[in-house]
Amino acid sequence: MSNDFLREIAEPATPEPDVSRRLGQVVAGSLSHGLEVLLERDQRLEDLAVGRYATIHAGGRIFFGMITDIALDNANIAFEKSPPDLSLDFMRQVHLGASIFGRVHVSPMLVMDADGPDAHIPQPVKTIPGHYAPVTIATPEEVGYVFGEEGAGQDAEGRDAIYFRVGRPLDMDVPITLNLNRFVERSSAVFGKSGTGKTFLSRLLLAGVIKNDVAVNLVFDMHNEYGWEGTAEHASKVKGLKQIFPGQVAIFTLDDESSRRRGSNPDFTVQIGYDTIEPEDIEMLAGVMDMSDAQIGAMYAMHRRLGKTWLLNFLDDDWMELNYGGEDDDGKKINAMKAFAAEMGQPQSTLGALRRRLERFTRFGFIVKKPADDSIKRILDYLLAGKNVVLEFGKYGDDLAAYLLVANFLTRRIRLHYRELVEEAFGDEAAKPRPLVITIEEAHKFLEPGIASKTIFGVIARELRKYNVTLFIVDQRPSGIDSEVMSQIGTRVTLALDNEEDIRAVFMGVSGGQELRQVLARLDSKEQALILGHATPMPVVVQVRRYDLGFYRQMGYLQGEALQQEAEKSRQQLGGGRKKRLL
Amino acid sequence: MLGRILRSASTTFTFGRTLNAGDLPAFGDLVTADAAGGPVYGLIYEIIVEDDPFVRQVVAASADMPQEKIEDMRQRRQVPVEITALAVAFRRHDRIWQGVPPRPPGALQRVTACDCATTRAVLDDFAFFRLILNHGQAPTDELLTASLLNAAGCQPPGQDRAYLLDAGRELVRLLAQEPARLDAILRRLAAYAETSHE
Repeated sequence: MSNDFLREIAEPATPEPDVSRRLGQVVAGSLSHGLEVLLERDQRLEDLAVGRYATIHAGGRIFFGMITDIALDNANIAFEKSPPDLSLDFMRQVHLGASIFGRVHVSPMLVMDADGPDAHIPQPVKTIPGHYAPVTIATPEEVGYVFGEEGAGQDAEGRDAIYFRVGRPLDMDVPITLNLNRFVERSSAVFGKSGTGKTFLSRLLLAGVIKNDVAVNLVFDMHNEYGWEGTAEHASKVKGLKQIFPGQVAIFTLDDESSRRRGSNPDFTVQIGYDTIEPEDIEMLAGVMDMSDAQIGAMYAMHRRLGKTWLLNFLDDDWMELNYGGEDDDGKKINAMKAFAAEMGQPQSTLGALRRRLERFTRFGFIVKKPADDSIKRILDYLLAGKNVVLEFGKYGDDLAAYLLVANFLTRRIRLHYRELVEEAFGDEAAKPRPLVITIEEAHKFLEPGIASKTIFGVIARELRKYNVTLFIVDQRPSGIDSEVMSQIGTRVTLALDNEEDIRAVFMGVSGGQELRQVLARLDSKEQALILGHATPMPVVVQVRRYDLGFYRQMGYLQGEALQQEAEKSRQQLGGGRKKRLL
Repeated sequence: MLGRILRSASTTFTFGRTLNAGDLPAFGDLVTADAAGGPVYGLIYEIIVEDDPFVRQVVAASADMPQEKIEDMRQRRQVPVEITALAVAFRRHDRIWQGVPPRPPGALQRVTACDCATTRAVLDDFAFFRLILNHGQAPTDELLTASLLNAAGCQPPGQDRAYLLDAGRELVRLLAQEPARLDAILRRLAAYAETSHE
């Protein structure tokens, strides 16, 4: 196929006549199932797409809706079975729009009064326009008005809000913004199948949160993609958050060697002491480590008996031999594990199986007998100072058990500390710690139906922003997440999904979700996302903005001369005339 | 004048004339008849040339009659040509109303042809379609087609196609449940519309 051919398709030699905005008229529908719109005779179906916005002016109000389905229809089924001869132009002109016609399904989302005290304030729709109300394609100005301009402003309820541009609609060049304050107010999520750009989009959203300082972030960076350079499929490297925000982001690592090898120059190496691990930290790994209820019970029993050192002692052959081994009065060798099991009141086989599973921890280099520093305190210090923390897992990112253990271990303790701080603040908003957003990948492993109610992540998702901690979930299997947790996710950013169950899960608890499924099912496999929920006035399909040098610069990234100038300015402010180059 | 009313009813009126009183009106032509209260407009759907005793005798007696005798029989015959029209509109208070007239034209009232301006005034509103389609006796599809083609010929230059397009779409609305019938009518209109631009 030649380039000329492609160019002709993209740029017709004769420009199309200016198509009227008028789309059609409302002919049927309901609030719960959306509106049926009969298309104008000259409205070409080929020019429409699900996800486009439509406005309906009726009864002194402006309704805002989204096209969620497009259909061919006819006045009589016989026209399907025996199509009229449209070879003559006259016949074509008579039949199109009369006997055969197009119709679209529009889901009403918002309504604005044309005048009155609440004029032009977008409100959730509570009624529908009447019969034959004219429907038009929304103008860029109308779309821009509904979503708000980028930067600081106020939301429909008059609260301060910071709007962050995430992209543009598929068919017009208007910025689509997210209300970041609302985005972090409740738990949020990015869903999408593999290779759709979840990490890109998540990094972009996190950059918005960091840049506008609406919350502080703790990112459990399973695949080492957020903090320092990540790889892109179409480009070689993309910048990590620390490169864009060097003063606001710290990289912590579980695998110092890996981080240094990748040049991320971590700020701190996280170590976890054996004596700090509690059964609750391990319990949620039951699925991943194939642990039975009896084995979990045995952990709690050992913890009760042995206290903080239960895990260290349990995995220590010498300790076991020293305390439970030896010889009996007859000089026969005592089976230490058998004696230990008897002491603990647990079957030996259970403890044996449990030990084989927990021995996996001994291969985790970050679990040590005596940590060099208190990692929890260190992370909290950073977070409370407003510095965002990206925890790189290095080689341990390939081990799901390590990821779940560390994320659960740290989150339990950090959330507990936040809870204490919030309770101490006793309602004083100023004294509360700044909102914390915890980013987790493979979230369905933390939040699957069987364990969501037991894990700290399930608790955080359900308690909303009670203790100023919310989740930012990145996942490819939303159907694997507990429905109760899903219903608490405020903002859902969804890239392309194939699986029917996953699509259904995304719309769980969403009004009009059934209609939006058509929109989601037809997203491009890359860089298109459906955003719905708390942070947008209505669902929106966006072409996600590029995560490139232009974006870095808008986020404040400096390089080359600009960085040198900034460095020089700082040097002068510090009163130094040193000639030493910073670069 | 085309003739005078022989008999009439609410939905149809029949007028008579001799064969030699100028050109005969055609099937589908719009005519108007005087009536109490205002003129009534109708579309011609039947033209009957009745026989009479003299014609019967002549036809029976000789097959090769001289041309002079045939012309004589034509011009002097005592039985008029009967032309029946379907009433589709009437005028009241300087306005044309589509529908069945309140009263039919009386006997011997004058019937005249309508000019293009009147044809447009009466047939530009497609409400008369229903009167034709609902009439049980007239050949409705043919009458619709003929009347529309006549009306199209009365449109200002270049607007006949647009008129037929609008008419065709209205027919789709009315005859969507009878696609075969609709198709037959539309094909006739299309044949006119496609050639009128060539």
